[in-house]
Amino acid sequence: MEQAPFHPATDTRQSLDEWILNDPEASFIMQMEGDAMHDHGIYHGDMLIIERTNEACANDIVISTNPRDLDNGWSISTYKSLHEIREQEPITVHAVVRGLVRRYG
Amino acid sequence: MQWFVDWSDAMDKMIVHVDGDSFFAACEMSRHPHLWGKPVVVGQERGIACAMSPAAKKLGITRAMPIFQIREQFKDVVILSSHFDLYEMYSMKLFKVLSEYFDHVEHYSIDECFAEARPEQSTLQYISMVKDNVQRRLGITFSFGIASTKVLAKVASKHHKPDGLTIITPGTEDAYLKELSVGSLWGIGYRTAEKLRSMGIQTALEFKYRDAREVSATFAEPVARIHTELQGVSCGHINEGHEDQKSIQSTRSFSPATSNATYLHSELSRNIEEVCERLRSQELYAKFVSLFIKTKVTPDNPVKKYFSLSKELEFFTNNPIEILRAIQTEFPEIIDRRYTYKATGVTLHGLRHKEFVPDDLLGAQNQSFEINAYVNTIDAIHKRFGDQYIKVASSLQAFERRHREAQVRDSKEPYIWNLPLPYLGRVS
Repeated sequence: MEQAPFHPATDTRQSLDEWILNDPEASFIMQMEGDAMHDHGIYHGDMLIIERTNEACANDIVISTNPRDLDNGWSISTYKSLHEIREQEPITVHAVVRGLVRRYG
Repeated sequence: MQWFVDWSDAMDKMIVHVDGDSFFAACEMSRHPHLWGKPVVVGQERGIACAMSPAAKKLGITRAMPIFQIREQFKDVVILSSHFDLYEMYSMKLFKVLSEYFDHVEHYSIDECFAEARPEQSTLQYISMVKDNVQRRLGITFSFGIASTKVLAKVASKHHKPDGLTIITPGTEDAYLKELSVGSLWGIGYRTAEKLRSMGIQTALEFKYRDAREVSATFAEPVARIHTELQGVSCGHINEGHEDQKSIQSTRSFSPATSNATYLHSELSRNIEEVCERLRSQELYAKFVSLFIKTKVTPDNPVKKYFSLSKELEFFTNNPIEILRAIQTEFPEIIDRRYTYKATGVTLHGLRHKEFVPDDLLGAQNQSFEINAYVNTIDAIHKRFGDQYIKVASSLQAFERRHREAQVRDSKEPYIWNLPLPYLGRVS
């Protein structure tokens, strides 16, 4: 999806939504819980901007579910780390993380 | 299978109807993987089922079934409150995605759109691509119907649900109309269906083959138009942009039935608060109110009866207190003490968006806007602390009773985030 160009001369307002969203209609927000993604720079409490897509790349951070264990809810991981698990479990990938908002203090 | 049908000789466009599958339930469930595949009912705060997941439908739960009854009969059903502003967001997403693929899209209702497809777009291939795209980006399923008119496109989308895609190729309509009762056609109400049945018309197909002159002589123009559309001749056009809702309704059943005027007033008051909240979330205002109370069927009163009251409001409003004031003297008069009542309902009509509310010469409408601004404060408090803290006093009796009934509480997490901020420049 094409990003709307920002013209400083005429535009006094830039929507953060437009800047951060690649595909607004497919975008949703989630909150990180726990330290599982610490090594990838995502901390507990971070707000994640996610985009529903079925085109994930190896280094993307993805949101997935395990249809055999739905009670476990959403999972977050890198796409490549799912390769091994996917040999045993039928993991469904729903979305990739596109942005992040963090609050300090 | 024929993937490309050339209709360019026969007609220049087809109508696509897109209908959300258990839409409210789907929007709620898309946030909660642990609910997928489970029986889920939305409508806790209204006291009746507004939407059911496919698993809940399979159990036999139907629209408007009272929540207390669902709790008694189906222990495993998960009951959730509705969040109309969330559904509105999904609805806009649907409209926008469809607008990427079709030239003309009509936002018909919160979970339905019509679109006009050019002949080369009216293929299974193209429509499947649109459908996959919508479903992937929104994360919920829709049923698509394609036919030569709106009425037939509605038949098509209903033909296979959920997650269906049905193309009614011109000339094959009869196969779809044969099994369809005439009352389930779009626009045929209960009374019209009764009348049609009394004329020996049971199915949509029988209606289609009635003489057009007889139909237009017997029925009002809208019914004649449906008859024409069944022939494959389009009468309507696609109304682009978001068409405002014409009315908004809330009905609540309760048990045990009662004829206590204070309690009935309290139930009604809850209904009015509920519809007003929905109006405010969409910045709509109403000019007319109708309400009803419904009797309980007993051996003495074997036929259910409705007693109703309609009033024009002094101003366009979405403030429950204004509406309660408008009906307060007449409402007690419609309660016939010979009956007990098990449901109340309210409908607000003549809805206008804030920008389209006409002002009167004396500016009284504007004054009314100003006086009623405090309801926005109430909404803000509801958003922040949950809606149990501030209620119209007259609703309290009904609300407390429901609060005790509530077993499943929604989490108090926000479900929509906004972030409008000033920009201070770069940092390095």
